[in-house]
Amino acid sequence: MRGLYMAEGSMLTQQARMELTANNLTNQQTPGFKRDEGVQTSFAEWLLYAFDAEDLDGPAPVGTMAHNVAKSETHTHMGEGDMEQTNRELDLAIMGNGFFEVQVGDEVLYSRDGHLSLDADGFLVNSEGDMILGADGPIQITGPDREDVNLSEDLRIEDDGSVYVAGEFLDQIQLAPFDPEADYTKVGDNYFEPYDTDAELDARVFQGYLEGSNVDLAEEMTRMMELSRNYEAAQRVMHTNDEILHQAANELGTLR
Amino acid sequence: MFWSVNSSLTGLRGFQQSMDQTSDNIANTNTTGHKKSEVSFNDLLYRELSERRMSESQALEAEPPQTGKGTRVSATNTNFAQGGMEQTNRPLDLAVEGEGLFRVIREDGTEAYTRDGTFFMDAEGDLVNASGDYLDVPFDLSEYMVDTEEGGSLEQLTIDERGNVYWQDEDEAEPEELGQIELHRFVNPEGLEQDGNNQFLETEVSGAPITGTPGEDGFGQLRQGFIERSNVDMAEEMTNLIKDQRALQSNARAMTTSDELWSMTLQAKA
Repeated sequence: MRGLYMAEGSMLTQQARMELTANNLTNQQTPGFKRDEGVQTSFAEWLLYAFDAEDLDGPAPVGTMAHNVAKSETHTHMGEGDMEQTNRELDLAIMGNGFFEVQVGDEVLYSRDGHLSLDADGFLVNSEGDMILGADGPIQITGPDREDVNLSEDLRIEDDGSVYVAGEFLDQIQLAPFDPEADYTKVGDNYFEPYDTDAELDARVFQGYLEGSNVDLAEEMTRMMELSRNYEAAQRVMHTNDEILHQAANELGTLR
Repeated sequence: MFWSVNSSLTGLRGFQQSMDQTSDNIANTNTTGHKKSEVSFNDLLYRELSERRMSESQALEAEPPQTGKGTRVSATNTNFAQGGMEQTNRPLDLAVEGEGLFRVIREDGTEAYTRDGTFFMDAEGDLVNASGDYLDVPFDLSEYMVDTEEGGSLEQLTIDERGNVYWQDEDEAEPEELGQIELHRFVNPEGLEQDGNNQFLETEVSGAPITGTPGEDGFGQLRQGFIERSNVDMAEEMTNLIKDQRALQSNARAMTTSDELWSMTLQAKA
């Protein structure tokens, strides 16, 4: 029966990889999206023993086998996506290991999505309408004090995140450093959960650019081919196991 | 079971919408004063992959494996970049070089904003656009065009780059000043609501219109005898089309693969 469960485990793992690949493919145009990859691990290896009646010293080991395969974690690749030049004054791309800090309800979440706009009160927000945080909290670009600014001419954002409106320093966009090796949890809407890290911030902000998704179409398609063949093989194993069990159950004990 | 089918479906929907937008831009390559739009995407909520076949001690170290549920279109942005200028030499063709918008008053009395500066004169001597909405100006041409016995020609109408409108009578040396065409701009133009017919409506997000005259800082200058072409860039749209089409195809492939896996599962039993 062991073979049956192993085949099942392998099929479930390939299914999980398929879900990740499908999700990566749907997000190939999502700004600041980081692709996920499933990490497969095998269960602990077990020694197999040959039970031989004539061996008085007890069963002799014949080799090892693992009982199953499992998808143990999702690794998010933090590599940079393509930089697309948009010339839109409210498109910001981060180069390096920085996240925007975004106020979402009561909590602060991280994001690489720099497709920003202004809300009704002139605050800098993302496409969800959540405020991007600067050193002094939310950044109000326009508003009662600056009713007649002209965004395309007056708004300048330096590569250290300093925001200038009509030549006047306003605030500095806060960037949170990330550790590319760490395990980040995504929560949807291009957000990542904050994660404490000792990593040094080494990032710059580019105005008029947008970071695309880092999904590589060729890689995903290759992975899909590979996993579907793995799945097919596991299915064959299951099928064969079923045939063996069928014979064991129905044919071994029959009298002719 | 096979959530990936649903993920792929969100991708198909999203990229279809993106492709619709691209086709709309291409269809408006020759629409005077048209501003292109583009969609942007967000990823959807994540869920934990429930199948965790690991012993407890190993499991504690890592975050639970998770996978996303696909994508969705989060916003459609209008791009207000300047379009090219085309010379027409029609006296009532106006183009704005800069950020200002014309204000037109519709038949129902509501106001809308547009970059389309192709105007005509109606029977009452008012300036109207192709759909019959009035350009918001403090004068009309009735006494010059309709009531004069000898009749005038629109060639006698001059509009300078600051929006001042003059009427030159043949037997007078100095042209008569009729009034000034005003322009309007918004602090956050991307917040304007698109309302078809090349027109935009004021919203809470765009802020109230700031009214000024052409030539003032930020409003741009007026060009008589020119129209502003659409700001759709064909090369860019073709690139988008390729990107969208490949995205659609790859998602359709993923769906097929999920389907194949599913069908294999059903055939596993001997």
